[in-house]
Amino acid sequence: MSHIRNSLLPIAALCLLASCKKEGVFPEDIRPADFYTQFAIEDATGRDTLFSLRGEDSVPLIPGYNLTIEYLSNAYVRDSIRYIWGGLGVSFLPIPFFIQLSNPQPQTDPFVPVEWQAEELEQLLYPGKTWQFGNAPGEAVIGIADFPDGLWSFNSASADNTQGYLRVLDVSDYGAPDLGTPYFGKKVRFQFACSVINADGETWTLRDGEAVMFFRYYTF
Amino acid sequence: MDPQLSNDEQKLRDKILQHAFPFDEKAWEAMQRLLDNDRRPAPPIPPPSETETRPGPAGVRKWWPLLLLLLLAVCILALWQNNRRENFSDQGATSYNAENRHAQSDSVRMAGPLLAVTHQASLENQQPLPGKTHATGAHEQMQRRHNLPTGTSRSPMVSADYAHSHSTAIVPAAKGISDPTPAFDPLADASRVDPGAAVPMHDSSSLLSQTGEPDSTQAWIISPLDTLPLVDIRLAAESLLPDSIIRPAPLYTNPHPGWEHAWIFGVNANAVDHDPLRISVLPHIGYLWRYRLTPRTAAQGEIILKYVTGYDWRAEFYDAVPGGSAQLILENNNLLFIELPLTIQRQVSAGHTWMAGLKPALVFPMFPSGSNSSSNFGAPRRNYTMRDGVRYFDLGLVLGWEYRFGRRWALDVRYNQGIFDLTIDNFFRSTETHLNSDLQVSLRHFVFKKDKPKKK
Repeated sequence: MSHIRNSLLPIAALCLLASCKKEGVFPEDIRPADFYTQFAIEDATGRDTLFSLRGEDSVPLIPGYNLTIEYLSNAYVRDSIRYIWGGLGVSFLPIPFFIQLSNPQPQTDPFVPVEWQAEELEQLLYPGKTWQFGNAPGEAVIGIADFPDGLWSFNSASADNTQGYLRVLDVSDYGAPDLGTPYFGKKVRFQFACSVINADGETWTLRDGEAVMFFRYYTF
Repeated sequence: MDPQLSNDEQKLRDKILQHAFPFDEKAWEAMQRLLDNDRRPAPPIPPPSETETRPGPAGVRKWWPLLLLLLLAVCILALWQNNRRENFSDQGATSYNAENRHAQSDSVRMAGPLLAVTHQASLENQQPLPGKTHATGAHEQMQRRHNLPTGTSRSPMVSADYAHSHSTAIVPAAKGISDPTPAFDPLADASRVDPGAAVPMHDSSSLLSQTGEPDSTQAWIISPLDTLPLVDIRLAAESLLPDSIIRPAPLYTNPHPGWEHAWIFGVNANAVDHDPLRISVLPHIGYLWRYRLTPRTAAQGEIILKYVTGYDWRAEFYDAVPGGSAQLILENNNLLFIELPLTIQRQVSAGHTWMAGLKPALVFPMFPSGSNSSSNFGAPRRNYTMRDGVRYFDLGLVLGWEYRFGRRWALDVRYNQGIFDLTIDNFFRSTETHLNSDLQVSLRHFVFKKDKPKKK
């Protein structure tokens, strides 16, 4: 009896050990629907219009053909200022909504890559961070445009936004490098209210705004 | 007219046909009287010659009934002989202990015919089964009877005169026990037995034993009534009381202690979903190894191949990045289980066994389907298979019952309760629980070594 017991106990222990297998590690789907924006537009006549856009939304381009909203992000340098922006839209078409951030540190070294690093984004994007609107280093710009026709476009760069605000609520990593995705970065949730102006000087007011945007970076 | 007849023949034929015999009514009456008066018995049939033999099938057919009767008698004798040996094995495998002493009266009543068979076998067997039973053969008993006065043997001795003066069939005796109590323990009282002393006889309805070592625990008195017909001994045994030292007949135990092997053929009803409840009924096959720890307790290991269908699982992944997207769809409906139940069995009555234990199992998705599509080169790549989303090791609890309705065959009914969820929730994006729980009904065909042909 003892030898049977001695042989059964290791088997039972092995069974229990193997049965306690952890749940598999499967990254969440990378879905454009994770990104969205929603705010109210008060035009010059005082009329309020709800503006809402989410990734994977289908927008008719021509009869019989629809466009699917994607999340977009890109970086560039202009006048020794490094910019990064995240938005919703479709490549090669007017961006219906974007938020552009600029690095407060001017970039004087031409050999520094344009792309941002994770550490740089983490210094600028953290919960509670508040941005001023403008084109100066360390300031932010919010832009809206008609999609897909591009009949109108507004941005906050030239508008008077002394009463406006852009606040960071949440920041998290986004992307699955183990899946071979070419884009990965930060998923940031904003809260905002500001005035935007177009080329004709018409001013609209954006109120009760909320947006979740993607800002990509590279690890190489 | 027949053309082959001549004219004379034809005339003669016509003449005969036209002839009419004279009719006399008195002749008929005379004949009737003659028949009525003739009342003599029919002459007896001569008996066949006793020594006359007739060659051919008719002669053989005459002996068919006798041959059939002879064959039937041989078969009955062979079955009875086999049954007697199995009983010997059961007795040898069952040791007398306190548990047997407190057995139920039903078991005691079973001892009647078993004792009769045992005693009858001991009278007929010239070679007792060594190590199997204390009921030795007639040769040993006769030797005891002839050596009664000597007292040199280890076997307990009794007075021959005393034995001849009593009409008792088989009575275990011990010195100083004139009125044995029901609590008599032969093992405990064995040391008090004086082999050379005359032992008083007891009531034949109170002392009969089946197990134990005769040379150390029991004294057997063989009287001239040893040759009594079998029915007398059986009647004496049936009147035994349950509170005597009678050892109850052992439960039906397997005549092959140690390892047993059997094939498993059965059907399992698996619950593949619980909301709504869906059941999959399919056959399974397996093999078992059983090690009998005691005559009533055994440890059993099995390997069972079980195929279950109807799960209808679906996992879908969709990744979209600027510049590309990929979609992966995996579907699975079938699982193959390799179950390894480890159970402890306890025999509760003749042929009925309860079992409980653990059931480790390996799980293999079978024939999964799906699709993997991507657009553009920058799409993410998920190299998943259904195997990644299914738990490969499962553990369950087993509770079952087995009925051994033959030497080779048994019916097994068991319920298996799975413990772990078979599906990984974040793979299927579902918190549904899928357990490997089922009801199994199977036949077990036991295979014995002696059944296998010997290799030359």
